[in-house]
Amino acid sequence: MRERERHHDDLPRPQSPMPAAAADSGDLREAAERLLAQGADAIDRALSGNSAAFLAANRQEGGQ
Amino acid sequence: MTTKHSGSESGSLSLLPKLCGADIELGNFVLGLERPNGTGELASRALLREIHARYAQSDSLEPFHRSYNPQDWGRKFLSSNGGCAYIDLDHLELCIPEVISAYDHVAAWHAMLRIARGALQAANARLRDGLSIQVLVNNSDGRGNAYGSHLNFLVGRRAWDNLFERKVHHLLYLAAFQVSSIVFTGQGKVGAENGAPPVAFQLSQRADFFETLTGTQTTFRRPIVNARDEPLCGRGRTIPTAGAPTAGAPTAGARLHCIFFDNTLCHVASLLKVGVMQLILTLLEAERVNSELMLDDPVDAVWRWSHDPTLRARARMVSGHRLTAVELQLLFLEQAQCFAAQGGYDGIVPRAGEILALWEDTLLKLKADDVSALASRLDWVLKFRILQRALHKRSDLTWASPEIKHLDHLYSSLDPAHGLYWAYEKLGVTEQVLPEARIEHFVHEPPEDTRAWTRAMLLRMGGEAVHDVDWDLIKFRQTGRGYWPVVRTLHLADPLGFTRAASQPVIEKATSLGEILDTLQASEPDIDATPTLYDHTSLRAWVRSPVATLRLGSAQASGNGGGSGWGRFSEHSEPDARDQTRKTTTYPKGGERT
Repeated sequence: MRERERHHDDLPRPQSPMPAAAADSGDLREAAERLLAQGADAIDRALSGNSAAFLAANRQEGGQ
Repeated sequence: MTTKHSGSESGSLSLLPKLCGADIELGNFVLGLERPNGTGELASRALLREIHARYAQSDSLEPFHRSYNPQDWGRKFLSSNGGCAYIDLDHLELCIPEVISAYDHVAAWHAMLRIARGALQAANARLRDGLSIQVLVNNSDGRGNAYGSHLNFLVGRRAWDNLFERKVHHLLYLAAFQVSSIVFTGQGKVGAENGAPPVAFQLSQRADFFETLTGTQTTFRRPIVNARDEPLCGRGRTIPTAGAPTAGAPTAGARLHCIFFDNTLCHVASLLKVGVMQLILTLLEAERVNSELMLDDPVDAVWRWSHDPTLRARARMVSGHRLTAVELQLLFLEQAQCFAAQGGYDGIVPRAGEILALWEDTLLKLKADDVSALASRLDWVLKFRILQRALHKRSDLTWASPEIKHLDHLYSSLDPAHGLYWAYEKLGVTEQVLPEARIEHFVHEPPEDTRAWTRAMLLRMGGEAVHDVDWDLIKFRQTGRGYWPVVRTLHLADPLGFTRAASQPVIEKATSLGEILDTLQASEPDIDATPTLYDHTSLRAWVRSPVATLRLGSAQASGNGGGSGWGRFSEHSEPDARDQTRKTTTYPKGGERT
């Protein structure tokens, strides 16, 4: 198992999406808000769809 | 089977690495097409056909020799990564290959979603204009129907027996952990279902559907802690290790089938969902249970906490104290940190220290109500923020508007053109816990440190000779003496065995599939001769045998009931012919609730 841990530890780690300077500081909140705001287009696209038709078609009877 | 020993009042206990699997049940339907009973059947079959063609080396939907089972239809294991895909009650269901690391679990989970996405795009390309298959990685259609997201963990048999047959405080401890964990495992949902009190937004997709503390059922009166006993790693008191040269004292294994959690997309939420469960299950296995951490009424608590996104709701403990979900989680964290300080997780939970640190940081941010930071980590927070922005943008909308429920669903749409999660991931909003290459790796390759590696390799090599596959066995047709084919069975009972390190030398050295099976100790042929004409007993046995299937056709020969998997136990499955001790559950026709 220790071998397994070493194996995983060798993998490159992804970088945080937040700016390095913002990490662990009050700027983190602002950075997150800026990024969230950039998703406005995605929300607009979703809202432009036919919600009634989508909800009517989405019927998932049965399931665990 | 590698084990570790931990002291307890009752002597030394064996701890097992917390190998884990998952089945991802998806919402699927055809937009633009109306059918009296919905379009799930059409959508799921179109998707499964594409997956079979691309990843199972077959585009046939014909399952192996199994009887019809609506909860396990068309299952095929993937030669690409060792996982599998099938249809469960008209839902496409994806099972990841067994992994040990929670980080690999996240990678394999997203890899299976990529496989499904490829199938979605291919299937949609075949549809006429105006029609499109929609796939949602959620757990509820908003109309009272839920579908599962099951996790499966290897635990010692003793730990399983303690939970369900000997120590009720162990059961309540696990229930209290799971219920309070929705603060980081919930996907979030608009509205309430299943008779729960109305609410604008709640943390969990599944909370409204839990009606009892424990039970074996999964489609009605769903239990918080599922008691299915289908180990898929042997049933004896030890795990067979044939062909798997693992060290350490053998111990009996069991599979905890957890139906509690939501489908998650955020990496951190997915990592914590699995990784923290590994930590808690290790505590249970080591019998380090703090009996103070028991809820008076877990079913009430899961509804209460899920319906309060402010996280201020309190639930009563057996002790009489009233705690928030975050406060209770911090107590679990404290106990896990103490165990870690004693080296308790070494060799059992990979990267336990990192999981603990991320768990603590996330809980502290939840306690501080730092929702902006948490939107990068937790699905329910990200979804909540997205919906709040939509409401701010469109003053004509309310939480009850169809558009908001539509957005709720689209958050988890698998289609990158519509799925809000993917849009935010692309923007860099979400925190990634593993390299992109690791996800892509598991689209095409199996984990190397579990039996999934050997399964995938033998599926690639076996081709048409593969006769049947399940999590713990593969059957191959081979030429026997004379004319008749024979079926040989390779049992993969040890989920931690048959790793790449164990099997690759065997495969490389062998000159034929038969030689590999010999070395890995495949069992003798199931049958290699036709029965005597007037021996009715042997004739009946022969008619039921796989070989008869080849000669008589599947309509006359009935294969095993199948239906089970590391990912899944089927309520309709018949007792497996090779293991009559497996438990099954039946219920009256029409009596199930969804």
